[in-house]
Amino acid sequence: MIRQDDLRARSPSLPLPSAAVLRDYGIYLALLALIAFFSARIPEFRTWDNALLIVLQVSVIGIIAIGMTFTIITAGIDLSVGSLLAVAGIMSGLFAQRPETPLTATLAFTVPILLGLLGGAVNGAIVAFAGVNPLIATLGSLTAYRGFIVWFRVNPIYGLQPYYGVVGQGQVFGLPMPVLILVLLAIAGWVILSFTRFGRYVYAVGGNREAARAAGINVALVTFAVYVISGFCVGVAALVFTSRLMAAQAISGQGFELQAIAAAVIGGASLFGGRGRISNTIVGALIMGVLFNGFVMLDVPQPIQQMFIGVIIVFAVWLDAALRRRRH
Amino acid sequence: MKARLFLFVLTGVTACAAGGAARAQEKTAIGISYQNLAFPYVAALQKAAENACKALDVNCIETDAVNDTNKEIANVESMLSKGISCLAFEAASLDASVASIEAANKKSVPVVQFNGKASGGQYVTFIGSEQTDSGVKLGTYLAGLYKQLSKPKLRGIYLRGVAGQVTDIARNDGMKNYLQSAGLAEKIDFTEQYADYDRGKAQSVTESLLTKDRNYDFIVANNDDMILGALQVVRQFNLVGKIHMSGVDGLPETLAAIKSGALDATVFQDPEGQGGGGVWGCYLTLKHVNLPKELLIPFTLVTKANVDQFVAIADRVYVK
Repeated sequence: MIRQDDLRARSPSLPLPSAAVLRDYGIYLALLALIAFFSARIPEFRTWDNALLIVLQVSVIGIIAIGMTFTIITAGIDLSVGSLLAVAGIMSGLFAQRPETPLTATLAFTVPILLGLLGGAVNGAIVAFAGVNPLIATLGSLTAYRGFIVWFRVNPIYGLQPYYGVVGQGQVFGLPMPVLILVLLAIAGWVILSFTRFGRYVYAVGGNREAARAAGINVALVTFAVYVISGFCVGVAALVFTSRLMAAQAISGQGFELQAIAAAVIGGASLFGGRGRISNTIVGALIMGVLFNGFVMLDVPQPIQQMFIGVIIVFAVWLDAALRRRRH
Repeated sequence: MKARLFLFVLTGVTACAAGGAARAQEKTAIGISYQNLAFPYVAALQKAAENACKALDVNCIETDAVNDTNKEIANVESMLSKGISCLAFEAASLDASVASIEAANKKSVPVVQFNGKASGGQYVTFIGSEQTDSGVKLGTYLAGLYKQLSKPKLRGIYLRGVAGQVTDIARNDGMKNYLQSAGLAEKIDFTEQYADYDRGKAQSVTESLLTKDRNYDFIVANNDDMILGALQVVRQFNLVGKIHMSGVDGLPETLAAIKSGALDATVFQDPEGQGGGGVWGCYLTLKHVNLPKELLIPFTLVTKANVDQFVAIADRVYVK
C-alpha cells in the first residue's frame, strides 16, 4: 500500500500530495463548505442547539454506519440493518411498555442489543461459514427479519414508560445521550480498526482474502465477527431510535441500509473492500444530516433533497476514484 | 352526483337473511388481495375482512401484494386457479393494478374493489372513501381553529406523505380547495415538507423546523404516524397545547392522544366499513344483489367531543 509520506518523498514537487490530501480530507472540506453555505443563509442554522440537533438526527444512521463500515472493509455488506432494527425495536418496546420493574427495565435495554448480536451472528454465520455471498445473504435476512416482525406485531407499540426515554432524550453534560453514544461507538470502532490486531485483519481480509488466509488469518472468523459488530450497532441504534420516538413500529428502519451505505461510501469506503475509516463514515453521515437540516430550514422540497444526496454520492465516489487513478 | 351510501345501512338490512342462507349452502370461496399488510391500517382492513368472512361463514383466501404489482398479479392468478368465486381487491397501484383486475375479468370472476381503486378493468363496485374528503375534513378543522384562535393569520406546518402519491395529492387538494372556498386561503400559511408517511422522518423534519422557528399555530399531517412523530417533538419543546395538531387515520394511539388533549383531532377513516365492505360486496354480488358502482364511506373529523365512539371501532380492528 502506497502511503502519502512515500509519495512526498518520491516526488515533492508534483501536485500529487495535494491530491492525496484532497482524497483523504476532501470530505471534511465538503462538510465545512456545506456548513458555511447554510450558516451564511440561515441565522438559526449556525447555533449550538442546531449543531447538536444535526448530530442527534444522524445518530441512528451514524451508529448503524459504524457497523456497516466494518462489513464494507471486508468487501461485504449488511443489507438487513433496517429490518433488524425493527425487530430489536419492537422487542424492546414490548418490555418498555410494561410497568417499570428492575426486570422489565433491564430487558427493555438489553434485549435489543442481544437481538442485534443474534441477528448479526446469523448473518455472519451464513456469510462466513456457509459461504453465501453477503449481498444475497443479507438481502435474504432483510426480507426474513421484516416478514417476521410484521407477522409478529404489525401495530405500533406506544405508551412506553417514561424511564425508557433516557437513552433517546436524556442529556449528559448538556450533550444529548444519542450523540454521546455515537461518539463513544465511533471512538471504539476507530480504536479497533486502527490499533488492534483484529482491525488489521479486517483490512487484510477485505484487501486480499487469499493473501490473508495464506498469512494465517482465520478469514471466516474475522468475517463472522464483522457481521456481529454490525448487528451490535443495529441493536444500539434500535434502542436509540425507539427511545427517541417513544414508540416502536414493524415498518421502522426501511431504507436505513441505503443511508448507512451512503454514509460509508461518501466517507470513501470501497465496496471492493480493504478501505474505509470510521471517522470518514461519520463525516459522510454528517454531510447527509447537514443537507437534510439545511434544506428543511430553507423549505427545499424533499424530492430535490433526495436528488442532491444522490448527486453527492455519485460525485464522492467518482472523485475518490479519479484521485486514486491520479496517484497510481 | 355520486350517491353516498352508508355501507353499514345496506349490510345491516341484508345481514339477518344472508347469514342464515350462507350457512345452508356449501362454503363460497372469496379471494382477498391486500395492498401491503405491513401498514397498520391495512392490517386493520384485514382484521375487519376476516371478521366479515367469519360472520358470513364464507371461505376467504387472503394474499398480500406487499406494494408490488408483480406479486399482486401472481397472487391473483394463483387465487383464480384455486377457483375463487369473487375477488375482493385493494389495488396497490392506480395503473399497474389494472392487470390483476383484467386477469379476473378474463375468468369471469366478479371484482369488488375496496379502499384503493385501480384506474381500469371491469368491477362490480368500489367500497371505500373519497380521499379528497379527508383533506376537506382537515380543512374544516383548520377553519374551526382559525375561528377559535381569532388571529388575523395562522402559520402552520403541513407534513405531506410520499411525493406524487395519489392519496397525498388528493388530501392536499381537498384541504386547500376547501380553504379556498371558505375564503381562508390567504389567512392560513403553510410550511410544507414531505415525510413519507413515516414517523421518524416527521420527527426529524419537525425538529428542524421548530429549531428554526417555534411560532407556529398548528401542525397538520396527511397521516397519523407523522402527526405522532411531530407530537414527540412538540412534547420535547414543551409546546403541547400551544401548537394545535391534527392527523388523518384514527389509529388507537392518536385517539388516546386526543383524549388526553395532546392532539386536537384526526380524520377517521373506517377500516371496518372498507375491509368488511370488500367481503360483503363480494357476498352480495354472489347473491345477485345489484350494487351501485360506488359505495362511499365518509371520513369523520374526530375531536375530544366525539372521540369515544371511534375508540370502540378502533379497538375492534386494531387489536393484536
